[in-house]
Amino acid sequence: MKTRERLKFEDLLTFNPVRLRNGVIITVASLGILIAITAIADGGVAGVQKFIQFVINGIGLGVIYALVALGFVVVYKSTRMFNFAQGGLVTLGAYMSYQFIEGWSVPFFLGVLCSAIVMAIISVGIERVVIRPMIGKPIYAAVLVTLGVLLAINQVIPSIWRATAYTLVPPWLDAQKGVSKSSEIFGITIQHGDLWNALVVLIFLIGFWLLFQFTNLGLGMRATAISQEVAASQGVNVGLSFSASWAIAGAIGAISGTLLIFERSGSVETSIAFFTFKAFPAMILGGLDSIIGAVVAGIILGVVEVLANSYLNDVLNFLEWLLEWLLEVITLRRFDIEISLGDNFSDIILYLMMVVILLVRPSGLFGTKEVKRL
Amino acid sequence: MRKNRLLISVVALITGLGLVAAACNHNDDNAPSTTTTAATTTTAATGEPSATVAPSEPSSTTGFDGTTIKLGFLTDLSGALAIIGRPIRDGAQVYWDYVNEELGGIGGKYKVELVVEDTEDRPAVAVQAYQKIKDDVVMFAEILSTPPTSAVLGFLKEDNIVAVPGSLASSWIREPNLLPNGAPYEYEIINIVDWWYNNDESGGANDVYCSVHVDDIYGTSTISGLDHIANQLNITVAERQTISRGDTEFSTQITALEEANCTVVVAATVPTEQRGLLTAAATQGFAPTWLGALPTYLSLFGAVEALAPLYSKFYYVQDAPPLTETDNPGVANFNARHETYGPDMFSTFSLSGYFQSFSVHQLLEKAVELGDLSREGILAASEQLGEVDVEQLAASNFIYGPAATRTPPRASRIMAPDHTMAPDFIRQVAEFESTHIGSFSLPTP
Repeated sequence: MKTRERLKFEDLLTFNPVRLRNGVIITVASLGILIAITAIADGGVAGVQKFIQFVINGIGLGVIYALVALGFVVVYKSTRMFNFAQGGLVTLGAYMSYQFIEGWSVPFFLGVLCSAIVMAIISVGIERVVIRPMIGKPIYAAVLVTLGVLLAINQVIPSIWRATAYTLVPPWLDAQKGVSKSSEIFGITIQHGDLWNALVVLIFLIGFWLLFQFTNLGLGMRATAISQEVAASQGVNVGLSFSASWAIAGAIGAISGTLLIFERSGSVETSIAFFTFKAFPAMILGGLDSIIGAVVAGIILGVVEVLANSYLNDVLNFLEWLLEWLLEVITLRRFDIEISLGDNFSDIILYLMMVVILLVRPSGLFGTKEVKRL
Repeated sequence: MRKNRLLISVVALITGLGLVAAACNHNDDNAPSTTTTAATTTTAATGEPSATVAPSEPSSTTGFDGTTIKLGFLTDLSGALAIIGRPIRDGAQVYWDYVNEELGGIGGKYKVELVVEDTEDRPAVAVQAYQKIKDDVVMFAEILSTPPTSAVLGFLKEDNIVAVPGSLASSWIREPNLLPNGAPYEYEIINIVDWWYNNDESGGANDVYCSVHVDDIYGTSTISGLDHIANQLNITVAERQTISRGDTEFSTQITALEEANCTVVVAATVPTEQRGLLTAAATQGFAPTWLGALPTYLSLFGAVEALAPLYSKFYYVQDAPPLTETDNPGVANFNARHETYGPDMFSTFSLSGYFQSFSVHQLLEKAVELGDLSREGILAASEQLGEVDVEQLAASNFIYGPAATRTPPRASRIMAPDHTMAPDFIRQVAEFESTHIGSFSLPTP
């Protein structure tokens, strides 16, 4: 009981209030500067409005990244293992939701719930059959096994669902337009689908807090992550902790997979797995074992991706021109070459950010710093 | 506790068995159908065996053991283009099941077997898959998508192997080792833009034309058709946007197109991303007319009534007519054969896989007729192939022969999605051949 009392929310989520405060100040200041620059460069109010719209769109995308990253984090937090199979669980979860909702005509929200339950059971099965035997083995071996599970799931799906792609329509679809219903506030469009995504992430955040703060299971999962041997010696059921983390990851996979369908324009297809790897930098950036870190990093990455997509090409064009000009000025020669930094540089911006953060802060923005005894 | 363990063990066992069963099912999935009953309404002209004129029996060689001809089939079964790659495989399998069961095989006696490998739509994986099976097959009946085909092309030349590219890039036409089908993408774009521009109802001459394409070799080469027709019609392309395969957020591209006041957007994209673009456009209230190449649309996306508004101003190009046009002999035959040999569901790309098999069939018939199924024999046979009748599944037939003189079809069918038109949810709007195609120079190797 004493142990529980000493645990605080910030300990639980591996989050440092001072760091968060600084982060918020830096983020708000950066956004303010960007808005000012945009307003000047892009013609006043309309430019600012466009910029804010892109930020909102980025948050919508980032929430999905965050949700997918949560699936990775929950397993890492309990087992210290990268779970590449999460991509497969997300894809399988998407198909499972399709099966319940379209295949068996279960009402939408009940169908997603059923899908989450089934995916939790399947995930526990996977953990018991192929992951549990890896306890005590080198960690890289276990990670490779999860990669194998991902490949296996990607092969299993098409053999169950013969058609190559399906379509699932969300309840928040505007039938007149064929897209998500939306509301407009000060000229900024907010899609209801994005609000649902944000609500789901919030529910998961509260759920994790309750789990880790108030339950023996959550406490056991945390203890297992620190040291399996010590946890076992203190009476913690390590196996149950493993199973619980996989069950949660499976349920998250089902829900995030379903929401990803709508991010992919309603298309249920195996390529959903590829999207999950775009959420990987969110996990790294957030700090591997930090739940709130995954959420914050996911949103940051979503916003950065959309803004980079929108504005970076103009910056790159200027840089290309500048490089060509400098080359000619420095060498006093006229070159018949065209420097190109590529059209879709924004595609790699997530990974670039990940590399930079790892260089500066190896433990990520909110991750636990590794302490070594001398 | 014991109960829990028992429960978990049972769950684990069931899951494990499920995985094994599914894996076994997948293997069956790759195997040719064993369905034997079949009765086609029409015998395809191109399907008639021609073994009676064979001067000698072809001897056993790589990929041919004297009874069965093995064809390599490199397609995307698990990557971003699996939504295209799987139905293409299914369509091809329908065709070869028909040939094996109803015609007795090539020359009336040599059965055909597909050796399918997954490329994941990744060039490096495609090369590995090619190396893995090249010594087991006489030729490749499919290499799906432009990037994998480009990656494998050098090896095909080195090994003297003929392959069917599962894409319509114009640069394949002059390659001796490739056996392309259909009108090239560039022709498709020239046709659809010229059709729209000269369509009195659309008033296309007054439109502002823009483009969006995938940032790979397929997208850039396809959009070169727009450059050509824009030059011919004296159109200025007001805005050009690119996307990447796998993108999900398109508000940036749509905003740029909207700010350029585009009223027509020419698309060289792939189905899921195209639908994402349409969704982003509808969300922002941007409603241009979309003119797309063949890979921009998947019939399954047009089947949902609730999503029909997205496709209300969308047109795309394909060679084959809609499957509702049962007066067309090719369509009638496909429907009958698909019902007999095919899986329960299919997409427009099932027909593509079926359609591509016509030229392979005729090439193998020619090789058997010449008595040589070796790699060199098939390469030589391809130079003597001539016109291949595709039962009116294309607006005109491909005329093969030496690569330098091949003539691809020029006309295209313009399609519009229509959720009421099952089973492929499209209707033909026009058949069109631009007069500006003649001035387009096909790339030479």
